[in-house]
Amino acid sequence: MLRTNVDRLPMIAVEGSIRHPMVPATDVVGVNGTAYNAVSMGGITYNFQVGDNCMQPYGEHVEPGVTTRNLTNPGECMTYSTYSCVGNTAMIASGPARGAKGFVTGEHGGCEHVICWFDQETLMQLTYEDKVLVRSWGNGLQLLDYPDIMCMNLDPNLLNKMGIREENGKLIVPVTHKIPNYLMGSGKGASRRQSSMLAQSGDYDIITSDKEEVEARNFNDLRYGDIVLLEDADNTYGRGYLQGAVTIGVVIHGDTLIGGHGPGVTTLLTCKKPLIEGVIDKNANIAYYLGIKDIEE
Amino acid sequence: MIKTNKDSLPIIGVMGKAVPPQVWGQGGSIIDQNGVAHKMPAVGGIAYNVTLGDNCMKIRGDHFAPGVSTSGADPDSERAWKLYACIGNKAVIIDGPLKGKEGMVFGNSGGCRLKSLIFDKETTDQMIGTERFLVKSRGFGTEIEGFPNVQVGLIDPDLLEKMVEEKDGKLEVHVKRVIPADMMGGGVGNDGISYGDYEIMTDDPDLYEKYNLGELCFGDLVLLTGTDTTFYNTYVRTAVTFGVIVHGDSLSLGHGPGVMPIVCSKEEVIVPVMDENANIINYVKEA
Repeated sequence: MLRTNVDRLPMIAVEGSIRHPMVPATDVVGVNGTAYNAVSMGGITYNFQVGDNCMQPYGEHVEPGVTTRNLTNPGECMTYSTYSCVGNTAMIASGPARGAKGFVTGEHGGCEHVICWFDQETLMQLTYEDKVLVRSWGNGLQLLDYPDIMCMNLDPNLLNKMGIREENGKLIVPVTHKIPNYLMGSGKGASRRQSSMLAQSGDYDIITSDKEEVEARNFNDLRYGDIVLLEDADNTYGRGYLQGAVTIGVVIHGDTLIGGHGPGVTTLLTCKKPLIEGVIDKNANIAYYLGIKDIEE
Repeated sequence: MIKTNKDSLPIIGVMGKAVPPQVWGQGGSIIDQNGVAHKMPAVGGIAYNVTLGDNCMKIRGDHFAPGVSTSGADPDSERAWKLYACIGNKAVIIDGPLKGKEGMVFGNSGGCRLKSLIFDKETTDQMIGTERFLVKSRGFGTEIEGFPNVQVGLIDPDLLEKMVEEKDGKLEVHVKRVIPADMMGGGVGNDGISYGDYEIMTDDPDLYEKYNLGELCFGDLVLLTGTDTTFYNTYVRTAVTFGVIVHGDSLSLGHGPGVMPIVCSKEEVIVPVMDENANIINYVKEA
């Protein structure tokens, strides 16, 4: 098991509201200049969950499961999305489903959504008056033997379930896809006015504008929850391009028909030096790691 | 010489105002790619000693823009000011002691939606930051005859006609640098030519040297390969964007000098002529 500073990390409750869909997505102009109509992000999504294919839902940035956001004021909103980490326990804090537990599965930047999974029985009881309490834990997480590798947005228990091996001073991480930096889009170099430590919340998108690239790289296999490797991606103090840098992230929202966007990736591990390697594994998905889905043989 | 639809373009009045400097971060610090905080000015205000043609990479400023930075005269004017006032359009000061002085619309800095106007040094030196500007805008909606697959950016069509030559079925442009798609960062996924600038990332020191980015100046012309800015800033392998450098470097990860598109296409119809002196200032002087 990787040595960390987990004993020093405060676990702090943060709370969000379940967020109604807010983008009508009518007459959206696609990357080729043609308008279309589709659903967009937000809401309680009943039929696409973490572990499902994220390129299949017909819509813009469709989020799986339950979308939440802190609606009080900008400070609490950013704190909610920054403190929440992928894999943290989320609990329904109101209504008939009060007490039901699930997990944080992603952070969607810009809109500042924290996306959570709950089981179907719970989903059927939720309304937009309900709140979700996240036991946030993982901010400040450090790997004691790897000072050059930064952790962020990562629940310490999830870290230990990702099948990471240590070998010759490097971390070997199971991933489903490896993505070159030129195919990372919206969210790269994002607005600094939202936060000075950018990759500590939110995500950035895999570009699916070039369909030949999508085919050649098997992006149509991407699922919500897939662990992916981003090549030459330095996410230490923002999101940029440095040859040799490596970032490990999780896929958190679906595809798009607009340009420069696509499935979103929340950063979990990043390093300016080539100290992380990815090994392709089709089972590298947090739905399996968190016990939400069973691995199909 | 290319032909455009400029005679069918409406000329629409839009009004803007000078905006003060915008201070970012804790204590005005810019955090660099190594997490180190640097104190320096950022965007907005009147730049008395920085103008078109000056080196944009060595200024001790973050995303610094030349001339006077402006926004729409009021919230209702904002979107039209940013979209209709095109590079090369004339800007006139409408009140105060400098009433009647003329300058030129330059680039949008997308992140905070400011637009640069360039006036001569004598006029700039007298500005105090309360100036308001009228632009009889023309250019949004420009098309090039015979090139339906080319999207024109926010540029005055008279200026465009001087900058772009038709040759053997392609559009030929003079550029100082050719920058590949992997170098493009801040602004990706935004609304293409309707947005503002798309930034060249300066995070990697080896790539900075390889593309000799340190010599870039405000107004320099560049070609971005594999970069589509027609409707969105994105990667499309065959796309090409011809653009102009509108703001300076940044120490932040994923950021760097901003390029505003002049013409772009998803197809390879724009071809470069390498020219170390390729700067928009050469064409403006001809006007």
